[in-house]
Amino acid sequence: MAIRGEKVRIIRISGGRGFVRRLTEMGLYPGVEIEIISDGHVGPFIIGLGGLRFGIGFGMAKRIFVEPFGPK
Amino acid sequence: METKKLKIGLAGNPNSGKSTVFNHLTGGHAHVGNWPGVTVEKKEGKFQYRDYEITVVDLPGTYALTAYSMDEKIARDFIIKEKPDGIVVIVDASNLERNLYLATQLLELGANVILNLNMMDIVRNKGMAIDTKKLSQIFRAAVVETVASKGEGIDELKEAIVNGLKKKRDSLRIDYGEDIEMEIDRLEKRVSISGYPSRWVAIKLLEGDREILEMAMREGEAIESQTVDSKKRLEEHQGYDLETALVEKRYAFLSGLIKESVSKKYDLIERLDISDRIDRILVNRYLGIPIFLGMMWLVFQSVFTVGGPLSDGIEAMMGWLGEFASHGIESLGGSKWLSSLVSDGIISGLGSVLVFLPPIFLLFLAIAILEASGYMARAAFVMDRFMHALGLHGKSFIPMLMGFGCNIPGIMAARTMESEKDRILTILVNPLMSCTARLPIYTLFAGAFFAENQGWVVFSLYLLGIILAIIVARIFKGLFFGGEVSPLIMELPPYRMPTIKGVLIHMWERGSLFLKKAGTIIFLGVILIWLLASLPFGVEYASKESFIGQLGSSFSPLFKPAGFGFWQAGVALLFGILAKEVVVGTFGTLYGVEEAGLKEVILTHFTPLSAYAFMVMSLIYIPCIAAIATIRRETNWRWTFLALGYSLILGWFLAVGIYQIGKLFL
Repeated sequence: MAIRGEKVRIIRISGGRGFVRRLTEMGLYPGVEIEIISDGHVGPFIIGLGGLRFGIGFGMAKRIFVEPFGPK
Repeated sequence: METKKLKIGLAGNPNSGKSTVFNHLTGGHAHVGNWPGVTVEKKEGKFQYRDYEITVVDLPGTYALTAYSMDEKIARDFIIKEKPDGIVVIVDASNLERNLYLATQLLELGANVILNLNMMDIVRNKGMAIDTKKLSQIFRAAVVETVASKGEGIDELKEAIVNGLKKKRDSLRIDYGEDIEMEIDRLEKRVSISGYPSRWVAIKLLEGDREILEMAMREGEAIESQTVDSKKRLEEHQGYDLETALVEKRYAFLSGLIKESVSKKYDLIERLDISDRIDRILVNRYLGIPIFLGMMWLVFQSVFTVGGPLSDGIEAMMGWLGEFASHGIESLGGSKWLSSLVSDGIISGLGSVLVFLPPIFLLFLAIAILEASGYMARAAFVMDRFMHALGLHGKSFIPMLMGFGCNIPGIMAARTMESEKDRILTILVNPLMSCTARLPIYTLFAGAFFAENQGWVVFSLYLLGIILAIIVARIFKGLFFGGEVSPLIMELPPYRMPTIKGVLIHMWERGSLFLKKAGTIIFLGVILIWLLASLPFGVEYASKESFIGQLGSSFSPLFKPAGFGFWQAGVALLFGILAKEVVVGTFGTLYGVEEAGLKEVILTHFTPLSAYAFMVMSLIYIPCIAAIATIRRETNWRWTFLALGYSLILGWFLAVGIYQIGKLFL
C-alpha cells in the first residue's frame, strides 16, 4: 500500500489483457515512476505521471504493484 | 480559381484540446452524426483556406490505435479505409512524452501527420522550450505550435495543413531492437494486406492484434502459424513480454526524442498544487458525495427554474397556435377533419417536441460546463464505490441522475461510457428514473388520494424506481452481459475555466442531435396517435368509438386485476406513451372536465389503492415515445424492444401485485 506523496515505481500490473494494455498505452507499465497524489484513504486513488493525473477506480488500484524508490 | 478539396482527420489524446482546435478551424460549424454502424459521435466541418476547401473530421479522443476500444477502431479504420490527405495530431505540449505516443502509431501506419503542439502557453510558463525543427526532423512531420484556447497559431496550422500535405515523407521507423526486428523482417516478407504498410502489419501481428491477424489470414492461411512461431521465439526463448516490450520501445524512442528537442527536461512528477488541492476536497471520501449532490441539486434547480417557465410558455403558445389554426381553418370553410389534423396532430406534435427543448438544452449546457471545468471526470470517481455495489460503472451515475430530469439526455449521456456493455445496461434501466414528466401524474393522484402524505407517496415512487433499476440492472447483467464491470481508470484533467463559446458549441451539438433525430420520430408518433384517435371518419376526437378508444377498451380488462380496468385509464396510458404528462390531460379530455375538476372525477373512479397501482404503472410501463426513439438511436431495435417489453411486463406485474396484496390488508 502506497501512501500519499510517495514516489513509486510500477513493478507489475495484473489483470486481463485489455486492462494491462490500456494502462500501458496510457503510459503506465512496469518500470514507470509515478507519484501517489491521493492514496485511497480519503477518496479514490489518484496518481501523477509527469504533469498528468489519473484516477483509478475502486478495486483497480490493488492490481497495480509498486515499489518505493525515492525520498518523500 | 478552382478550389481544391482536401480531407483531414483530427486525432489526439483526451484533454489535448482537440475540440477547441476543431472549433477554431471550422468556426464551430460542425455536422454531427454517427460513425457508420456505431453510436460514437462523428463530427465533420469545413473551412476554406487559400484555394482549398478542407473537410475536417474529428476522430474520437484516444491514447493509442489498437482495436481494443470502439473509439480506437474508428480512428484506425478512418485512416486506413478513408485515406484522408492528412492527420493533424493535437498534443498537449506540456505533456509531450505521453501525448506523442498516438502520433508515433499514426506515423508507423504511414499516415501523413501534422503535429500540432497545443497549450504552448503552459510550456512557456514552465520555462521550457521545444525545438520544433528538430522534432519535425526526427518525427518526419510538420510541427505547428498553438494556444487553441486563445486562438493563437490557428492560421499557421491552416497554412501547415495546405503546405505540409504536399510533401511526401517517409514513414517513421522505430528501432525495436535486434531480436524483435528480426521477427518483424521475417513476418514482413510473408504477409501482405492491401492498403496497409507491411512493416506495420508485421508489428501488429506481433502485438497480437486479432483484427489484423484475421485480415492477414484471408490473404494467406499460413500466416497464423508463422505469427505464432515468431511470438514463441521471442516470448518463450528470449523472455520477452511482447506486448509491453513493443510499447516500451516506442516510449523509449519518445524519451530520446524529447531529450533532443526539449530544452529543459521537465520534472518526473510535476507539481500541480492548485488542482491537486482542489481534488483533496472534491473527491474526498466524506465531502465528495455531499459536494456532488449539491452540484447536481444546483444543476436541476437552475434547469427547472429557468427551463420550466420556458416550457410552459412554449406549451401555452402551441395551444394558442392550435386553437388559432383550427378556428382559422374552420372559418375558411375547411373541414373539421383538416382542422383537427393541423391543431391536434401537427401543431401539438410539434409542441410535444418543442417543450422538451428548454430542459434538454439547459441540461446539456450544465453538463458541458461541468465537463469543460474538469469536474465531470472526478464525479465518476466520487460515485464509483457506490455504483460498483450496484453492478454499474462509476460513469453511469451521471446518466441515471439526469434521468430524473428527463430520460432522453440521460440516455444520451451514457455515450461517455467506454464499455458497450455498461452503456447499454445504463440505457436500459434509465427509464426507471422518474423523470419530471411523470410528476404531474403523481401530483394529481397523490393530491387526490393521499393529500396528507403526498410528499411521502411521491418520494416512495422515486425510490421504487431506483430500487427497480438496481434489481433490473443486476438481472440483465447476469443475463446478457456477463463478467466484471469494466475498470475505471481515467485521466483527470487539471481544473480549467470553461469558455463560453466552447460550452455553447457543445450544448448546441448535442441538443441539435436530439432535435433532428428524436424530434422526427416523436413527431411521426404523435401524428400516428392522432390518426388512431380520429379514425374511423366522423368519430369525436379520442372518444370511445375512435380506434384508440377501442384499443383502450380492448385491453383495459387486462388492468382489472390492478384496479383500473376502465377504458379511460387504458386510453390515458396509451396517450402517455406520447409523453407521460399527457396522461393527466387525457383524463381531462375523456371525462370532459378541466384539470381543476379532475380530482373530483378520479376520486369516484379510483380507490387509494388502485390510484397507487396506477401511479406505479405510469412510472414503469413503456418509456415515452421520445425516450423510445432515443434508445433506438443509441442502440438497436433489439435492445429497444427489450426496454419496451420488460418495462411493460414489470409495470403490469407490480401494479397488479400492489393492488392484489394491498386488498388483503385494506
